[in-house]
Amino acid sequence: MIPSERNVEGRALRTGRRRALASALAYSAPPAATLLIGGLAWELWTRLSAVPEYIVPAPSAALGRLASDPAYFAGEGAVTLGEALAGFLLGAGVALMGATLMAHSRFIERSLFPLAILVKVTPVVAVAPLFVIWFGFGPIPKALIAALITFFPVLVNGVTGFRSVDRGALDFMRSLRASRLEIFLKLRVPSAAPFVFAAFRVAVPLSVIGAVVGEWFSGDRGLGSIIIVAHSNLDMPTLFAAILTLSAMGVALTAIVSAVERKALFWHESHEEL
Amino acid sequence: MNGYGSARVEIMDVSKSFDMGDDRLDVLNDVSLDVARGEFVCLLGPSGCGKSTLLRLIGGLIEPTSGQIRVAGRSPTEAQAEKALGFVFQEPALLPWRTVAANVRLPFEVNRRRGASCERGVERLINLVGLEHYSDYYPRQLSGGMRQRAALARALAVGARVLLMDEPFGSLDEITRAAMRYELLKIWDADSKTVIFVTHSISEAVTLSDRVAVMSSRPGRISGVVDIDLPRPRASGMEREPDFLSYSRTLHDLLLQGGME
Repeated sequence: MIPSERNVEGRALRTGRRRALASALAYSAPPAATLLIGGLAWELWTRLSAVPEYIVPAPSAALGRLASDPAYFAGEGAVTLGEALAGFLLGAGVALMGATLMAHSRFIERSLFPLAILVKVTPVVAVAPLFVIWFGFGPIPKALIAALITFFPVLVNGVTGFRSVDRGALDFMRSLRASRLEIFLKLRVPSAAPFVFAAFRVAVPLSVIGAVVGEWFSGDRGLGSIIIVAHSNLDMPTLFAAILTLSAMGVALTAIVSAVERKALFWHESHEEL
Repeated sequence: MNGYGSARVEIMDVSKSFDMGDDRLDVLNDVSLDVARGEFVCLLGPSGCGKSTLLRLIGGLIEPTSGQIRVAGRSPTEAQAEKALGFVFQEPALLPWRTVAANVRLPFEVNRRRGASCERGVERLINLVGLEHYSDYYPRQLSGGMRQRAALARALAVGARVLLMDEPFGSLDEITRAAMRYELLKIWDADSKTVIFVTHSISEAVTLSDRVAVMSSRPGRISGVVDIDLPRPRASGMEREPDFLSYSRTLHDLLLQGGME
């Protein structure tokens, strides 16, 4: 490459980076500002009005509670996170296996899909107490509830994804007498990835909901149980601190899924630069 | 050039119908055609005449209702197993998550029981279709014509002895399309395969073929076979020669007859 060209490319790269930084700022600054203004207005309102702390605490009180014992909230948050992730892995894993079977056989799909719908339409909250009886007070029932809630979106998108294969590419593989396994690994799995990631983006926050709901019913660990205890004591700052921890966890998990998705689906039109 | 040579394709009294509930749809009726080794034959006809169905039958993607197809003396399924068939479709149907090189490598990777695994072949094929500077590009970074070149390289990979092309230039613009025809002829000259090429363009059929099988519809059949006795190598500008025009007229008349019946 001639040097002048390299210079031009270098400059393009630098302005590219600067532009990326600017656009990241352009996207994150407005919501951050909104959040800040909202928080300040809330703080002001709780101070000016006579609203008691056991109804609505000031954000400073919630943040103060969080700061007073960060290890406590982080530790219990880690318990909830562990249950949620274990549940997500289990639910998504079973769902993807089911989707693989269903995508290959209409008969299996006809036999299993109605059951999957049954699982979906039954409110998780209704089965949660049962899981406590069956699986005790430890993390297992929580992970199972998280798995149950994660299962359906991943299953549905998995089946659709494994079937959303380019006809020509499929014909080409067949014309080479590729085996079903080869077609699955080289064609169906990558074709399904955009659908599966879309499901993950929904399912990961759902798994946190599942874990928290599970903690409401039994046990003394996790942010869900902090919420229940704080609620019965009318300890609003602690309750809000737990909620804030859960929100932060949700934001972080979503960001991680999005980042992995961007890396994995670089080829897909949903990640085309606008 | 790749040492696999070309293969004869025999189509004997082939009929194909699809069951549509109570109805039966006859798509092909009693089609016979013998394509010699290394010959370039176009299947020319209006849409719905079953020319794509015939190509899919030859490729072993579907089974004939009656009749027989032989590729190098064997059934299409056996030809598939030997990777003797190279399909090119109207859409390039490349895998978007693979680079050009990885797409061309795909036929080497699947069905390893037979078929040589010759990595040098990938580079040679990419050079053959003129994409040597683009082997690390992803399909969406390429133009339509370049994608179709990559699809052609992929089809030629491994042991392809018969190229089955289903309106491969149909979604390209007119200018690219014309250029791709001569490009294909150049590749065919260098890497002589048997080619069966589906098209509904008369000038495309005359430009490319040794022989043109004209098809008519409902049910699809071959209504005439025309030898195109034009000198090779064929070059741009031949479209204005009187011989070219007279062949075009003959094919046009045959197509019209088929449509009138």
